[in-house]
Formats: sequence, structure tokens, C-alpha cells
Amino acid sequence: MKLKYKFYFQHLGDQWLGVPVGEESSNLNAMLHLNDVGHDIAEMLTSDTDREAIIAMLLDNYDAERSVVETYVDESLNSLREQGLLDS
Amino acid sequence: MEELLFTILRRALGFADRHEKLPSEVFPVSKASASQTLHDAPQPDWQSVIELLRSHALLAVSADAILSLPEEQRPSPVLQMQVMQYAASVTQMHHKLNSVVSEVFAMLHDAGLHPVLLKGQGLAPLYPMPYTRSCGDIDIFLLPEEFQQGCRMIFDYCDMPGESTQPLPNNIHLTAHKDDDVKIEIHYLPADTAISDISDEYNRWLMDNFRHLPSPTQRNVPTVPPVQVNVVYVFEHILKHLRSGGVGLRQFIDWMMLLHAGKDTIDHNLLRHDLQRFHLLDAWQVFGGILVYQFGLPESEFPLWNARKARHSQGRNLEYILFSGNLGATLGHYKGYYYLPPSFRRDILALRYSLRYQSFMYHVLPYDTPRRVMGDIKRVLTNQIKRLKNKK
Repeated sequence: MKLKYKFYFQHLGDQWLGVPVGEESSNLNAMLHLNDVGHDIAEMLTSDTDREAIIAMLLDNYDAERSVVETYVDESLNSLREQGLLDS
Repeated sequence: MEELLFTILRRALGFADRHEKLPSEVFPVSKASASQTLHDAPQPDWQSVIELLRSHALLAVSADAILSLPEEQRPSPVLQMQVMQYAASVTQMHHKLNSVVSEVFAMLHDAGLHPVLLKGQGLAPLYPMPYTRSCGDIDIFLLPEEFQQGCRMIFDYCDMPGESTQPLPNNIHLTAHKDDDVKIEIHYLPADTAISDISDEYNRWLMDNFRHLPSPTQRNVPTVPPVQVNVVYVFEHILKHLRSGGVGLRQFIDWMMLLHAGKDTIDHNLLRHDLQRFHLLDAWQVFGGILVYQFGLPESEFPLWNARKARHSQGRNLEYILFSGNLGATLGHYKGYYYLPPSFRRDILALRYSLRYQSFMYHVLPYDTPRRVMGDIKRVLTNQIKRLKNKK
């Protein structure tokens, strides 16, 4: 799975702004508003990846319980899917 | 309000003193009574600051500095969201413009032409966050002997095949539109100058410099003017806007970022010679004060610094610049004038500011002043006559 649109991520203050860019961007009237973890997930989703790879990356980068990470990733992916931003 | 604006901008551009705090009068935490918490302390008028930043085309540039403030000092969540949305729209526009720049320059280079990217899109990379510099159009200069061919190619690229490539009288560029939202100005002259008496000589000088630029390293990478020439070009453009309707602080920041980029390479003697040749030296030294005093550029990075002259940039002159805004965006809106009706009264107010300003400009750039003053008076009278006719 990967993001359906191309995003440019910009760090503003203590958050990340994901701005749709490229030819398809005019079809999407939205922007992503992310914290650091959300940004890491979204960056991974700019190329084809899967749930397990995202969880492994977060466990490498953050000091957190696996169950907490799994819940966070599932919630994030569901949210992106509900917004129609994931291609699978 | 101005003090907060400049503090935010210094932080955004990386010129803030490491220990610089936000102005205490807009964040008077120390004046809060013992029973007050930080959250009860008076907040600055963020709405006005944000409007002023927007009118000077600097809201996106400032976004990171605003959103990096401690939570209790930031604007309301609604305003924060507006700032982010604005920054997002500017970023999106940059990607569109850069994609067109890349395609057009590759096409022109492949045809053996020597286009030069002027102004905005060529200056954005000098900013700490390039995609936040407000952008509008793409300015491309073509050498006279390459103009017809290059212009035809750009019109074809924009699906405007029948468009005339003949230069227009009283203009310096033709305009092409790509997909409705990208405007390309195709310049046959680089500058519509404020220094009309030497306009031809100035344009010849710019073109001579543009003619001998090194070839690009990659076919889709645009060629930009050398910093040594660009600092004069960008500064002269500021004067042009100052004298014809208003200048945005963003233009001063463009100038500053160029000077910062060229701090080790600009030849001061050559620069002095060029500025004197075009009667720009006095104005250069006066307006340098805004870069140093307001934006925090170190004096050592401003070539030909003159503290005595730089002081003249302050007070009323700075107020006029804040008053006018980008392309006159805030003319009549600043300091509560916003609430005046769009009428003769507002015109007179703008004229009063303008005349006061022209009288100052007379000392630094006397050539055009009488003509500009007459132009301002004529504009107010014409507006009034139009209104009277409409009433009838």
C-alpha cells in the first residue's frame, strides 16, 4: 500500500504539514496535519510498503511497547483509508 | 504590533539574536497580577499581525516562527489553521511554478537559447524554507536575438499558438498563461525602471551581464542573474515599487537574502561603481537601514554601510512602507484607516502619505520625483472625477 497522492512534507513549529503536490493535487482539496510519528508513517507510505514494515520502523525509532505502536499504526492507516488517501 | 512583526520575521529568516525574546509590551507576562496565570495575560493582536504579514506577502515565510512559539503565546487555533492553510497554498503553488520552470528551461536550452530566470522563482532558494516564499508568476528574460523564437516556443508550450510575439509599446514583457493558474512573463527588457532618465543604459547594462552567463549544469536548471548584478536589480525593483503604488517587506527580504548569500563574493568597489553610475548609491545606503535595524542583517554583511544615511530609513519612511504593503495591498488599511470608506477621503490620506514620502525620496533619488508627485495628484483627481460622473 502507498499514499494515493504525492505530498510535500514541511515542518512548521512542532508539527508537520503534508501538502498535496504534482499533477493529481488539484483533485485533492486537503492537507495532512501530522505529529512526528504521523510524519514518519506518511513518509514510509510515499513508496509501496505494508503494516509490518511500518511497525518495525517505528519500533526502531521510538521507545514504545509493540501493542501501543500497533494500535497507533492501525488507527493512522484507517484514518488515511477513510479519507481516501491510501491506494489499498 | 510592528515590533512583534519584525521579531517574528527575524526568527523566521535566521537573523534573530539567540537570546532575543518576544517584545515584552505585546506579551506583558511580568505585568500580570499574582492571581493571573500565563493564560490570563493579555494576548497580542494576532489578527492584525497576520493581516499585516499577509499584505506584505510574508505570512507563509513566518509560519514556522509563529507555530514554534510556546503554546500559550501562539495565535488562537483558528488563526494557526489559517496560517497553515496559507503556507500550504504557497507551497503548492511553488511546486506548480517550479515544474513549469523546469520544463520551459529544458525546452529552451534544448533549442540552444540562453534564457534567464528573473526575480521570484530564482530568489526563493535563498530562503531558509524556499517553498514558503510567496510566489506569483515566472519571469523569464530572453536575449533580443532569441526573443521571437523563445517566445513562440513558450506560447506553444502554453497552448497559445496564435499569440503575437511582437513587443508591446510601454511594456517590457509579453504574458503567457499555462493551465489558467501559472503566469509566465516573457521579458524583452529586464527592467521597467524607476530611474527613467537612464532606463536604456540600465537595461543595456543588465543585458550585457545576462549575455555572458555560464551554461547551466543541467538542461532543466534555470540560469539566474549573478549575485553581483542581482543585488542591484532587486534593489532597483524595490525603488520602482516604492514610487508606483507600494512595496512589500518581502522585496526587502529578497534583497537581504541575496546580500547574505553574496556576503563573501560581492565586490564592493564594483558595486559602488555600478550604484553610482545609476544614481542609486544614496538610496541603497538609506534603505540598508531597514535590513539591518528591522531584519537583523549584520552591518558587516551590508556592502557600503553608512549608519548616518541608514537612520533616514526609519520613522515615517518605514511607516510608509508598512502602510503601502505589497503592490499597495494595504494602502489605506494600515493603523485603522481600514475602516474608512473607499472614497475621496481615503485617496487624500494616501496622497498625503505619498507626498510626504516623495519629498523624502527627492533627497535620495531626485530624478523622477516631480513627475511622480504630479502623477499622484492626477490619480486622485481622476478618481474623484470618475466618482462624480458615476453619481450623476
